[in-house]
Amino acid sequence: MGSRAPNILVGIGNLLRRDDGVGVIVAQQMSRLDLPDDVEVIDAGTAGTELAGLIERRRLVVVVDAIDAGEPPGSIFRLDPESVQPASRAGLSVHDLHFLHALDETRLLGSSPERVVIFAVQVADKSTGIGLSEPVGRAAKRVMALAAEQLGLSIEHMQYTPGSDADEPSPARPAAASREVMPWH
Amino acid sequence: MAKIVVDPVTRIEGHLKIEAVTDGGVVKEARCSGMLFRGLERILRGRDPRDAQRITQRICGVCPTAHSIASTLALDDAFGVADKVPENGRILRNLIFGSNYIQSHVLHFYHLAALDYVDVAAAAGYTGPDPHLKQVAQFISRGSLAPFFPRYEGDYRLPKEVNQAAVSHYVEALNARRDAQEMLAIFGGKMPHNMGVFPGGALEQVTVDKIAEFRFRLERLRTFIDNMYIPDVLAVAGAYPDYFEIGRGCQQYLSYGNWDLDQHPDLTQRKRALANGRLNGKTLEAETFDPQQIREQVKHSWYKSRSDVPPSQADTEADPVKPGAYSFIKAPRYNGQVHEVGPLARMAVAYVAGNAPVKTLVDGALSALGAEAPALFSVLGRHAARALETKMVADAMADWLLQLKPGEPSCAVYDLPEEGSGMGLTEAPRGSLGHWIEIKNGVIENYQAIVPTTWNCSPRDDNDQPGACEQAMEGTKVRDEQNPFELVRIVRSYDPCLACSIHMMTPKGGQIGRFRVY
Repeated sequence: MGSRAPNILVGIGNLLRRDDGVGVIVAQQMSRLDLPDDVEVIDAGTAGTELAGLIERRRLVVVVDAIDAGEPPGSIFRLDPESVQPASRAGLSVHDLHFLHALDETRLLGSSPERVVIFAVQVADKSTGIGLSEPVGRAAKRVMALAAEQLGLSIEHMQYTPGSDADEPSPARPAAASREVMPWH
Repeated sequence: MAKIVVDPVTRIEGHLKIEAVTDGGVVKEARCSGMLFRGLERILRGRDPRDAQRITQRICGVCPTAHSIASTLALDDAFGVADKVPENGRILRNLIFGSNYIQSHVLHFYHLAALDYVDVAAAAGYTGPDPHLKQVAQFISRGSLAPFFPRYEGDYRLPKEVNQAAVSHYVEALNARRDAQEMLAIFGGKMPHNMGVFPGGALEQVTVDKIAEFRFRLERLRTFIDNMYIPDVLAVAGAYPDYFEIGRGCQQYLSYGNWDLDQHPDLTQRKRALANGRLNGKTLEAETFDPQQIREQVKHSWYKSRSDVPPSQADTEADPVKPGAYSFIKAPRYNGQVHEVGPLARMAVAYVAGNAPVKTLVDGALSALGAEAPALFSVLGRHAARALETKMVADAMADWLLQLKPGEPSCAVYDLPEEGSGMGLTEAPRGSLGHWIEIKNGVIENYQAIVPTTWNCSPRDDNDQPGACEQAMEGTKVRDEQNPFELVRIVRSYDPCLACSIHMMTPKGGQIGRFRVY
């Protein structure tokens, strides 16, 4: 690939499991900002090892993901890759498709990113459905600010104002709303 | 009598549990249990029909492209534009989907299945000139074994040089997969969860530059497939010939067909590079495919929905305490019979129908292996079929790419109907995939998907017939019950995908509190 931004934000999660989609919602919101050339934002959805190509050799990778640590919903944690493991059958599978496996892959190839920062949000609701619970919706806004700080985004880049409701991460809503506008529209 | 439980089966997508009751080492009864509740279809009710294509892709990070195609075919049908898709749109869909096929099949062989046959430890202490082997040796010497272990022990048979070559190709395959993903994004916009496949055609415009970028990567992939993937599969087959006998299965094969070559409004009549069909593997009698023969049964599945109904009328009401049930997977049946789907089914259906490229590839592989056609109904046959299909698709893509017309439209223009129903039938890398949609008052009234793994890893049905993979395990001799290689090799040969799981992190140890920032 040609020249790439040295810094990348990667939002991970399953949009169809409510709060598990917090990383995706954050990435979708961030990608609407007027970003400088040295920052790229990726909605990685449920991708796993294929992320290796996106994160390799970057100066900074900021990951936003969901976590279930039994803490109050909406709590935000800043982790380094060594302190976490995939939720389902940790260490057993090369392939429950996880960011950490992608990181392993770059290590195997000798192309790891220089620095990785993970922001993880404690989930409240991981049932089947679209939309964040109220505490996780609030946490999503704070994570955006934290990620922006890591990525060196100044206030001009952050045209998104926390508290404005026009464009904020969708709160949990009834499944059968008609003609509902999806986050990607 | 003894019981072998593998839970979860690793190196597959999602959570699958297998239980086998053995007597004298021979499997008497096997059960596959899908442990993840789906029901994602219910999310779609009440939404704009165009959302289906985007939402269903989120079911899975492994084959999102297949869901985008199946969903889009159903929407083409429901919107009445199935015959209006421009040539560019049809070809772009094939190219986007083909990129995903190559990625998926290479991933399955090298990064999921090969570790059952290839001993990565052969790279330990390597000091020769191969850069990939040096990387793996260094990686192992640092004590990082994450992608390679855990595994069963005691049955790695490849000679050292072949083993080392395969390990080197494991690393090369990581690069190949990256090429395939980037290739997909050229016309798909992004990967995973592409934005390019859309009802009425495809959204990306065709330019000469994009064709050139695509071609460059495709040629590199074709070289990889011809010089590494196919030879490696043949090498594994040569060292494990008993696996031509193991895992035969139900020997009933089904394919919905894939790779549209025209835009006939009726999908079952559409000309496709791999035609649809049903094959009895014992008699080699082939039949045309009739989607009306598909029923979903739930006697042994944790659902209280009605059993034995056509997919368009099916429902997904969970009942996790249902007596006699042991899986979240439903049991789809064709004409009441158990069927295997996937690369072996597709290649077998095409071979018997006289498909020329498929016949050439299969006959070539059989002569290289010194094997007869029926040997392909086996664990090794599934791996060989997958590799040969990869070549067939990659070669066809090189031709399709040249049929694109820069500057001409890729998508039809149309109005959205208030009512409609549609069926989308295609073949995901793992097998037959169908989506069914009902639209009322401009929104989705009902949506159902039958995914490949529900065919292959289904539980027993209303008549207590075991599913395809269960049948493949029953009767198998397990040499070492502590290391049941035979069973995991059988299961992985189907490339099961039960994804749609949650991809969440958990902290190591119990000290999460100190990392709190808010």
